[in-house]
Amino acid sequence: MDPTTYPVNDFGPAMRGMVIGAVGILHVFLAQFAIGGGFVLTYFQWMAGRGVPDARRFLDSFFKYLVLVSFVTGAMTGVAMWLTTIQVSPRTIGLMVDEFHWIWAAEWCCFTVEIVAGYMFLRWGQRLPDRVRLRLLVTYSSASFLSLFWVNGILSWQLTPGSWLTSGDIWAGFFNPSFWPSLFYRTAVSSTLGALAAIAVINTMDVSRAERHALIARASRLLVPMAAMPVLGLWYVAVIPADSRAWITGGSVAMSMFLALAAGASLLIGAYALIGIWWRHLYVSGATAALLLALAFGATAAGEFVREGARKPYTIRQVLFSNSITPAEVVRLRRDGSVTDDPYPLRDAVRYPNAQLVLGARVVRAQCSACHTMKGANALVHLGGGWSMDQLRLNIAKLQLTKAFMPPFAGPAIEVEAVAQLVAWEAAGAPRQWPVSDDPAVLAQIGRWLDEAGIAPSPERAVSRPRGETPVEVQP
Amino acid sequence: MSLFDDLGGRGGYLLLLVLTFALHALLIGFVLGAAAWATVRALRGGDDPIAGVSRDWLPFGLGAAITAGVAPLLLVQVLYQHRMYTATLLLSHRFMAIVPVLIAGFYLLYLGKSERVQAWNRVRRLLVHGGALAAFVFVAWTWIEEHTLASASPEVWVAHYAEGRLVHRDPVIAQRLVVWLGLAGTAYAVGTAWLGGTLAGNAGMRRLGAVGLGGLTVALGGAGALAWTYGNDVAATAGRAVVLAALAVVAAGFGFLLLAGGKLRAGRRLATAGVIVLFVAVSAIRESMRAHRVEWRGTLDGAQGLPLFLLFVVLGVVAIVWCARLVRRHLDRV
Ligand code: HEC
Ligand code: HEM
Repeated sequence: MDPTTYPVNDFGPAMRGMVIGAVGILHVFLAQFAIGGGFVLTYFQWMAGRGVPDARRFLDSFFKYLVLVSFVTGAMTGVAMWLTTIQVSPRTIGLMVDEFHWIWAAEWCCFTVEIVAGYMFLRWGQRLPDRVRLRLLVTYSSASFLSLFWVNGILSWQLTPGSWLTSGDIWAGFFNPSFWPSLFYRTAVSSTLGALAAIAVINTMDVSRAERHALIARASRLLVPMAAMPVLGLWYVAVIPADSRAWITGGSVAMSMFLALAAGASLLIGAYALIGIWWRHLYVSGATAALLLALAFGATAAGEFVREGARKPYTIRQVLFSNSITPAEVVRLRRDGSVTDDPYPLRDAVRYPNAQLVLGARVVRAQCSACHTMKGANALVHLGGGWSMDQLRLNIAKLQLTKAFMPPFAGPAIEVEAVAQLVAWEAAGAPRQWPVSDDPAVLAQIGRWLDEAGIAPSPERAVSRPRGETPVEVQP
Repeated sequence: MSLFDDLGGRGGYLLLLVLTFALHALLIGFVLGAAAWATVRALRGGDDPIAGVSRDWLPFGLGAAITAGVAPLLLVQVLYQHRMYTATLLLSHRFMAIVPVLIAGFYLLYLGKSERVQAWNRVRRLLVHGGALAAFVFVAWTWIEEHTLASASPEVWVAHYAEGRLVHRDPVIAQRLVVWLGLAGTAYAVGTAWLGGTLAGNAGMRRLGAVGLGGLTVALGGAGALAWTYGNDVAATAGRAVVLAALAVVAAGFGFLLLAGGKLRAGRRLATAGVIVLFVAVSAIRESMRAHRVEWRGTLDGAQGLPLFLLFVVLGVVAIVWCARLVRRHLDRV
């Protein structure tokens, strides 16, 4: 079997991207919370060593929560993240593993240190002097920060692979153009989450109001890095590819909305911190802290959504399209067909009245299902069901020109026609009878449209040459 | 062993996989055994020092086992990418179920450790400990199912997909599970002999020796069934590792006998050495058989970053040893 061919699962009305989105957001949130929690712990332990009252008491109650929430769920969602990424795009994660596995292996070493140091603190921390506790916590939080450091390089590489594309040097890929802004940004987010969680925990402690106030004031110092977030965000947006930038800042309504949401939620938290905590010395109740955390979760969710979306039509910029086809493969698939070598049959083949519709369904599964469903989320029937046949054919043949965040169509004219027929058939309510369309003049016209569109992504997303692949020739 | 010949290339990956998987399996063995002991204790009512030690160390044991599992998870993707991914996709939700199940099991362990639960009645305690045990056995079964499907032929995959199945059935799965559960008994006996040796006393040590011997017997039974299924394949592809495993079984068995006979120190050392070698050998047998069937992915030959990993192995070991010594020195003083 061709090692790039995988069985494709159907997630019902949800598309595959939504599944990873949900797990991904939860994981990112918990992981960043764990890192920020490490900062909080280290900071309070340092204060405890300098005799600040109640710092140690806070630590012991905060650590329990950190362990219960972030060790357990955070570590498990990390595993879940691996498994989900495989479910969503095996080829993407496979390429990332091939390229960066030793960096990931180094990250695993850091993760192991984090777990071991953390458990030592949990188990024996109560019986240790402050100096030793501080050392354990510094080890713990440095290790968890290093995990972020390594993973951040690999993830940011997906959108901005930088000069790795031409040199193939993994360090060029790792320290790519968006590495630093996204590292700093995530660090600031981590610190914010840690501080907010600390404030929530302080509210559950049995201390006097004045003592509580003093602890909250100290915890909120870790909100300071938030001030840099707008600048870091702008820096990030400035280094990503121009078309991604255009898209998230107005090109796509949904993307821009989510970007605004992320920025708005972060601003609200920042404003509250500034006005409420520092300026007016307001008392932050548990409910308020929880609300602020919920806002932060919303901001994380929206931010991750934008980051995922900004990569389209690629999962790895200029290397792999979202539908797991490489730019170089498009040439071959246009000639040989995109599902000719796909050994997996349709599970519901009997539904379709003729072989052309079966072909259409197989093509949709291979080329479109990463971003579309037939009738659920981002449904093809809703998008193109009302169009005339020729409109459908034209827009599918020139897919990358129809919407710049779609990859070029990677099959011959008969596959375009099959997909167009399928959409029309579904839009017509899936009747029992449906004629086969094999008019040579129609196919010839589609062939011309395919040639006009070429195989490069939309003009503003030009293909440069990925490592090890022959240059892509653009058809006349 | 020809498996590890080319240490700069494929052999290096295989060696790392064998070692990290053996570590994962050892820790998982401890977790399964400890959860089983806690369950049996809850079933019978009352308490004993060994059950206490088990409950106490279970959450950390599971955390460590999962962490240790991430390394082979990475290496399996490197070495057998297409097969591993295909099996994961084919099993779909059925495979992903391990995530919520493990999270639930994890929290049950923390719950089971709390004093509140120890005051509960027998049925409720049984639900907590037995629930965790069931979760872990389910996860073990799932990984074996995944491994078995990944090793199957493309025809099996296509049929599996076409029928829309979520489970993969194969008699080998149950046989492998028996081997791992038996081995779990040995890992648990050894681990607990170290963690709770002083608490458990002589009577406890005898019982741990018996658990170890029982585990070896079960594992051998399962291995016999497996050898029957696989036939000559095993001897032909993993000859030396099989010899090593046999020697380790003898050493471990002898160690457990000493332990059961009240010779704590000598028995514990010998059994530990035997069990560790046994896990590495079994892991090597498992890998030889798979590597024998699957071709090498030459695309990895230019992979970069190995020095970074080696550096972090050293840094990681240094950090862990440093923390452990720091804690130990100060605990001794208190
Ligand atoms: C990288 C993800 C992605 C892939 C792969 C993809 N699409 Fe799209 N497509 C989109 C998005 C996002 C939209 C915009 C939806 C909207 O505007 O609400 C879209 C819109 C469309 C539209 C409506 C265009 C319009 O002008 O309103 C059609 C028709 C369509 N896609 C067909 C397809 C077909 C057929 C395939 C497979 C051959 C495909 N798409 C593959 C992401 C993708
Ligand atoms: C209680 C939880 C777990 C149990 C009981 C368990 C048990 C097992 C068993 C019995 C095997 C052997 C499979 C075989 O030989 O066929 C195995 C393999 C494996 N496990 Fe675990 N496991 C657990 C959790 C995990 C987790 C969380 C991970 C991921 C981080 C993981 C990663 C692996 C990997 C990568 C393999 C090797 C698969 C292969 O070689 O194809 N395990 N596990």
